[in-house]
Amino acid sequence: MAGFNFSNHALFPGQQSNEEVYLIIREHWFNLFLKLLAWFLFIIALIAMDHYIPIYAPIILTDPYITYFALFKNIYIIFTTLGLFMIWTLYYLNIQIITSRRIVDVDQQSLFSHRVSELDMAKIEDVTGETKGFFGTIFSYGNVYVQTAGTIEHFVFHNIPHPDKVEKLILDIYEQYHRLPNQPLRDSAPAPVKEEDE
Amino acid sequence: MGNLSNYNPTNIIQAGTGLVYYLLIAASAVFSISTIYSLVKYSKSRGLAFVVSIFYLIVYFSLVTQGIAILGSIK
Repeated sequence: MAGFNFSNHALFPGQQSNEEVYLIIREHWFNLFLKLLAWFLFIIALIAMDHYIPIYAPIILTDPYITYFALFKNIYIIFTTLGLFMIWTLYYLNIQIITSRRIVDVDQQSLFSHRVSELDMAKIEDVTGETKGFFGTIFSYGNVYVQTAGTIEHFVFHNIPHPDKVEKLILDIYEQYHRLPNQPLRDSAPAPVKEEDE
Repeated sequence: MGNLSNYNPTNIIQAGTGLVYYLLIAASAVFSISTIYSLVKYSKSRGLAFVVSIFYLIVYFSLVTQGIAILGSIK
């Protein structure tokens, strides 16, 4: 039962005890809202069915069809509920973690696809924060691109809140990471943050 | 709460409906279990994962119980 150890629950595999977690981020809430909006269309279809069937197809509400219709609605609600549960789970499990030593991307693409990618602070070459689109500008979310040396895969944080601040934070930690041990830390050294609110 | 033991198909339509229903329930159960497993295993807050999973299971089993009761009322 190593996967269900409550006492030493690391955020990601290989997390060290002296590793300071600066930020844990996931997609901006507006992206979850858009998915919930799409999910809500199925609820509207259910309400519409209840509203229009008595008007346009009243025969369905007579015996023996009514029980089949009730069974269909039951299955429909079961799968709609499952859909909501899956949307929230996938949103919740997709996180990016910025620590004092590395950047970790925990990617839950589907129920059967879980990927954890790490990028050492030493390998970062360039960080770009990008906000684009109407809603991105209004709600202040966008992408952060972290470029690495050579053929190593680069990181993209999709639709995260405040990409400019995250970019600045990564660069600050990068500078701090490369500082010689006998040099004093800058005044603007980032304070550890547990989790992004948005 | 429906009576789970009263589903006794007497014709091919009832039996077929029951078969399709249980196949769909089995499919939803597989996805539900996978989602709960992923949530509990990978979540950074196990407490939240358990609370959400238990809440989902209560809703899920209520719906399945209701469905089986409807299945039993098919004439």
